Parts: sequence; C-alpha cells; structure tokens
Amino acid sequence: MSFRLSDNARKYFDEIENSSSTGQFNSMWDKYYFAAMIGIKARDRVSTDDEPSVEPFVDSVIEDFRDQKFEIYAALISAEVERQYIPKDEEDEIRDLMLSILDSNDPTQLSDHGKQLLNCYAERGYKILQSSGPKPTEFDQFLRRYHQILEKQ
Amino acid sequence: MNLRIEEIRYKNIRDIGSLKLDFTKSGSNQPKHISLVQMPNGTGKTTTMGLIRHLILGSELNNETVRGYEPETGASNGEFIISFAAGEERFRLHMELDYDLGTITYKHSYPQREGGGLNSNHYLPLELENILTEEFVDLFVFNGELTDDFIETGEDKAEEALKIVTRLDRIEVQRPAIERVVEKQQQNKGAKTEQGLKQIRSRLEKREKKLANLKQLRNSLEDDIDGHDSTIEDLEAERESIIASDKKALEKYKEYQSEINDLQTTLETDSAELLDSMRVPSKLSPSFHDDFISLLKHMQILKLPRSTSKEFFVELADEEESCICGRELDEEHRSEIRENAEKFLSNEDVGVLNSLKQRLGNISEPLDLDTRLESLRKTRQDLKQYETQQDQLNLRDDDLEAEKQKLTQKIESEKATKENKEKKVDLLTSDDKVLRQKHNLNWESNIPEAKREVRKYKNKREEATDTVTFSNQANKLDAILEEFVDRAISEVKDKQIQKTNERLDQILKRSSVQIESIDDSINLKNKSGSSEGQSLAVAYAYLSTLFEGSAVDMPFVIDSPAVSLDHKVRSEVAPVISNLFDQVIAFVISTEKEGFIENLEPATEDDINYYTVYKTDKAGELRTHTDRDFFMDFTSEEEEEGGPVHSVQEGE
Repeated sequence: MSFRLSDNARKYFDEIENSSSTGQFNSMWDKYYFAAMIGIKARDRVSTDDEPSVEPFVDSVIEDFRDQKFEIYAALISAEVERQYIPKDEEDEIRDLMLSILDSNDPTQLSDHGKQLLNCYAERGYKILQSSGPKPTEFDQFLRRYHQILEKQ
Repeated sequence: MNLRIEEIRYKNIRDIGSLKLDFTKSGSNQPKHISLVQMPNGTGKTTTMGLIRHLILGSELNNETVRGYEPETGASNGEFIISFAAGEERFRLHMELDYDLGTITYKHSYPQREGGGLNSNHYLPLELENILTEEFVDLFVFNGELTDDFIETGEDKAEEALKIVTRLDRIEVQRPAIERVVEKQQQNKGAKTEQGLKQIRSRLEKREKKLANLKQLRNSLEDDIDGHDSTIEDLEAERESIIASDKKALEKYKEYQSEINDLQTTLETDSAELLDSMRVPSKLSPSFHDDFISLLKHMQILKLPRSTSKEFFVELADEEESCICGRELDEEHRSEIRENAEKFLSNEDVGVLNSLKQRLGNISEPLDLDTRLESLRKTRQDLKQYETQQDQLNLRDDDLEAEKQKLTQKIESEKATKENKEKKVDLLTSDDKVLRQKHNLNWESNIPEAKREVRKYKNKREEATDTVTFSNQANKLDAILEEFVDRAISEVKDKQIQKTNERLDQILKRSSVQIESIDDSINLKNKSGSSEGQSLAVAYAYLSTLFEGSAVDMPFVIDSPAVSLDHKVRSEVAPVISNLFDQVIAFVISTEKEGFIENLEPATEDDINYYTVYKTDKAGELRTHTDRDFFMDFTSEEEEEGGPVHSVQEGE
C-alpha cells in the first residue's frame, strides 16, 4: 500500500504547471499534499472502495515533507475522529484509531489503512478544487485560489 | 438382482382391521411361484395395489389421502408393511399412517439382523433406487384392466413402457433441462439470437467509428493549436520588428520588458517561498493548528501513550523475583500482571505515539498567508499592467502604429482561437466526471467515454457470441439426444416385436396374432380378425418380453388379470402369465377364476398360494382361507349377479 493520486487529479495539477510561466510544484508529493489537506479540512473523503486504483506515485514520504509528516498524520487522525463521531474523552477508541492509522514498523510510520485514508482524502480534495471554478493558469494564482478554497471548507 | 415379495401385513387400513398375506413356501423363505389372492370387490384389492406402489416409491401423501385410509370403525393409526428379499438381503418397508394428524411416515428394518429394530426413513437397495421410478413400478405393479391401453389406442403406453424398461425415458427427461440451461444463460448474458448478436455488432461498429472520428478531430485540433502557436510567434516577431523601427518606442518597449521580467522573477521567488511555508499544515491554516493543539491536549489528558509499556510488565512477571514495590511475587500475582499487561501498548506503539506527540508539542504558529498572498496578487496585477502597456505601446508613425495594432489584433484573435480549440481538446479528452456532467459529454463527444462504450460493446459481443454458440451447441446436443433415442428405440422396437411375435406363436399357436409395428401403441397385423382376448394376450406377451431386458428381475403384481378375457383366451393367457415371471401375485375376483386358475402353470404343484380374503358381518373383521377348494368354490353374490348386497357364500 502506497501513496496514490488519481489520473484526473494529476492532470488537473499538471495542466496548471504546464500553463504557468511563474513557478511550479516541486514534486508529486506537493500535488498530493495540497489535494489531501483540502479533503481533511473539509472532513470529507471518498469511500475506501473508491480509493484511486492507479499505480502509486511513491512509497515514501519525500524529504520536503519528512519533518512535518506527523502533522499531516495528526490532521488525518483529527478528521477521522470527527468523521467517526468518537468522543474526545474515549481513550480506548482514540488510541485504537491512532494505532490503526500509524504503524511503527512502516518506514513512513503510516499504516496501510492510514495511507488508504489519506489517498481517499486527496481524491476528494482534488474534486473540491476541480469543482470550485475555472482552473488557474498560473502557479501564483493557484496558491491564492487554493488558500481561498481551503478556508471555505 | 431378484426382488421378491415375501409377506404383506395390514393393520387398520379401510375395512381391513388386521391381515397378513404370507407368500413364502412353508418352512422356507422362498416365495411361491404364484400367489392368488381372491378378494371380493370392496375388500381392498385396489387399495392394496396403491399401497404397494406408494410403499415401494416412498411417496409423500397429503393429509386427505392419508385420512382416506382410515377405517370407518375409527382408529388413530394404521400400518402397511411389506417384507422383501433382494438377492440375499432381506428388508422390510413400513408405512405408518397417523389418521389424527393426516401424516405418513416411512421406516425400514432388517428382520435377519440381530436386534434389528426400526430405522427411520424409506430405504431401497442401491440397484433398485436407481431404476424404480413411478412409471417403472406401474409396469410390474400392474392393473390388468389397463392392458387394453397397449393395443391400437394411439396412446403411447406401449412405447413409453419400452423406454422405461430400457431407461431411455431418463434421456427424454433431461432434454427440457437443456432448454432451461440455455434460457438461463440467455437471461444472464443478454443477446439471445443471431439477430441480437447482429444488433450488438452494428452498435459496436458505430461506436468504433465514432471513437476514430473523435481521435481524428483531437489530432486535427492539436495540429491547429501548434499552428496557432507558430503564427502567434511569427506575428509577435513581426510586431517587434515594427516597434524596433521606432527608437523611442523600442526603448519604452524594452523598459516594460525589463519590468515584466523582474515581476515574473518576483512572482516565481515569492511563490516558491510561499509553497515552502504552505507545505507545513500548522502554517497552512489556523484550523489545522487548532486541531493539533486540541489533539495534543486530549492525548495529555488521556495519558496517551501510557509511560509504561506492556514489555515492562511482562518482564516483571516473567523474570523478577519481587515487585518494584519490594513485595514477593507469587504465581497468582504474576498471572494477574501478565493479564493486565495486555492493556498497555508495545514499545513500538508507544514510540510512534510519542513521535506524534512530540511533533504536536513543537508546531509552528500559523502564518499570515493573507498578507503574503495579497502581495502576490499585487505583483501579478502589476505584471498584467506592464504586459498591457507593452501591448498598447503607441508608435509615432501612424502607419506603423496602424500596422502594429493590426498585428496585435491578429495576435489576440489567434490566441482566442487557440484557447477555444484548447477548450475543445479538453472536452474531447477529459475523463473528469464533474466536467462530463457539466458539459453533458457522452460517447459521441468525449474520447474516454467512447473508449468505455467500445469496451462495453466488445464485452457484449463476446458474451453474445458465447451465448449464441452455447445455444447452437445446446440445439445440437438436443438433436443428438433425440436422434439417439429415436435410433435406440427403433432398434429395441424391432427386437421387441420379433421376440413378442415368437412368444405369441408359442402361446396362441394356430390362433396367433402378430404385432406389425409399435407406433406409440401396438399395431396388430389383421386387427379386424383378432379377438379382444387375443389382443390382451399380445399385451401380456409384450410385457413379459419387456422385462426380459430389465436389469432387475421383478415380481409381477397384477390386479384382475383375466376379468375381461373370454374363457377360451383365459386358458391360453393363464400359462403365459405363469411363465412371465418367477413370482406372480395376482389379486382376483371370483368371476375371473373359471378357465384361468386351472390353466395356470406353477413351477411345481405346491408352488401356488390360494388366498381367499372376505369380510364377515362384523365391521373391520376379515376371514382368510388358504385352501384351494375353498378358493375355487368361493363366490361373491355381488360379483356373480352384480347385486348391491355383499353377502358371501362360503364353499366347503
């Protein structure tokens, strides 16, 4: 189990990158991260049955995100706590959820289930971006639009 | 295998309170060759025949039928038992009738076995289980009055009997199953016929053509876009050369270009810096920052992860002699510690939760992204302004200016046309569901949809081809089976006719009739010249020949064998019936004895039973005699005179 971004989501970001003359994403992880954080903020993901079935783009968390990977995982846990209506004082349930998402034995320290959930948030996040008006043609325009859409969720 | 009936017992069945018919030779288990059971009409002949059939087949009977066997005198239960010998094996079938509930229960037992009690359920030896169908049983538990149905009726009883004994009827039964399987396949897979397959092929062809057209259109649009790019480049170069002829304008143009370049660099640098900051969730949005604070707080409140790991307690229970508090640890303590250790996390799990907690304790404050993004917006706005100014730069020479403006308009027009075509390519190639819904795209206007449609119809074509092929193969199989049965039956018929005719020659001698053909029923040569009795003799001869080819040697149980035969034919048919089977059980009435009984030919003189069973004046009571003379002298008034009164005249 690895990180996956659907073909449609890749195309969405690639087209922005291709048309922009003033900047670009550094990696597929950038695109994946932007998509996933929108889904997480919206507390909305596609169902695990609809997880993108494309080839994974990478198995690991790249250097650009290594320091803050636990923040991404914490955001994922917070979203799932709310989605599953787990009361915040339920020690056992929260601990079980955390341990189902994290995995000390995986190099990323994210379990297969955790990766699957993140992939599902990324897919929903891309769909939110895609349906929120015309696609920006410049990278700086994308960053501004992204911020607006994120804060609306 | 030989199947023989040794004994029949009745208890509380209609007018029969209790009755036992033993068909074996005295002092032995061997059944007698011929057993005659004389029962006046209304005593239970037809009932007995029906019960024998049900018992052999283990038929389920409904409440009404079961209660139909209840004696008028009233009884809660009835019983009908037959003892069989199948080769060396002996078994009994029990039919238990519950008149209160209207239910029937079958049981079986093995009288030879030590302590052989009643076993639940119906039972038949395997060899019999395979061949004893209802139709087959009707051929050896036989109603003599139906013999007529074999001859010249146009009904198919004779031919059916041939199929049953040769088991060709089993193949006939399977033929409708082939049709059912094909129907099921067709329901599951869609197209049913060649016509349906043709329709699918035509639809597939239409979609393949459309897909090819859409791809051609996309290629053509992409070529156009390349062409527009090239034209725009040429026009811009031409416009620059015009501007270059005006020195001042050229300077201004270069000045704008320099600003444009600087702003583009600024945008690029600022965007990259912003991107770097936005990669950290706590900086990306205050709400993520708040989530992390909240999560950390709850982890602290819930003491997640607990500072002591599972391994600590396991080690304590396994290795330490005393607890850390200094108390001695006995086995009970150790067991409890091990059990409770499960509530604590492993070292690894504690480690990963601590990493999470540590990161949450060191998160950055959210950035003021609004200000930085606003600055980005401003830079972009300035850039646009310079680009517009550069585009609208006026030249001092009016002609040149007019020329330049004309070129600018052309460039804008080219760009607009190009963008328009890019949008068309987007719509043609997008696999985005949202976009497809928004623009109402379908297989006639979108390449991925058309590809899916072609794939769908290719699958349909494959399935339909399979179904049609399957259906054709099933038709062939059906035709093969039909031809096989026809050919087999034709061959069997020829042999059957030949053997029956030979047998008829033997029994009827000079007055012999002959079978001409079997076409559903038996057709006789010179039918007009044959008597009814002769016809029946033909039917018996036909039956006897049939069973010669059967895998199991059956007893022949017959009801009213001679009732419709004239005296002359009775004397001819009686030896035939005797010689048909190794065991014959015939239920007769007094009026059919004359000319029939004395001409039966038992294997030996004492190889024949003479049972006479009749009712007494007492309800439910029957009397049984086994004496030959009594049997021969016994007459029933009703049968002799057709009168309603059922009085019995006993002979000596």
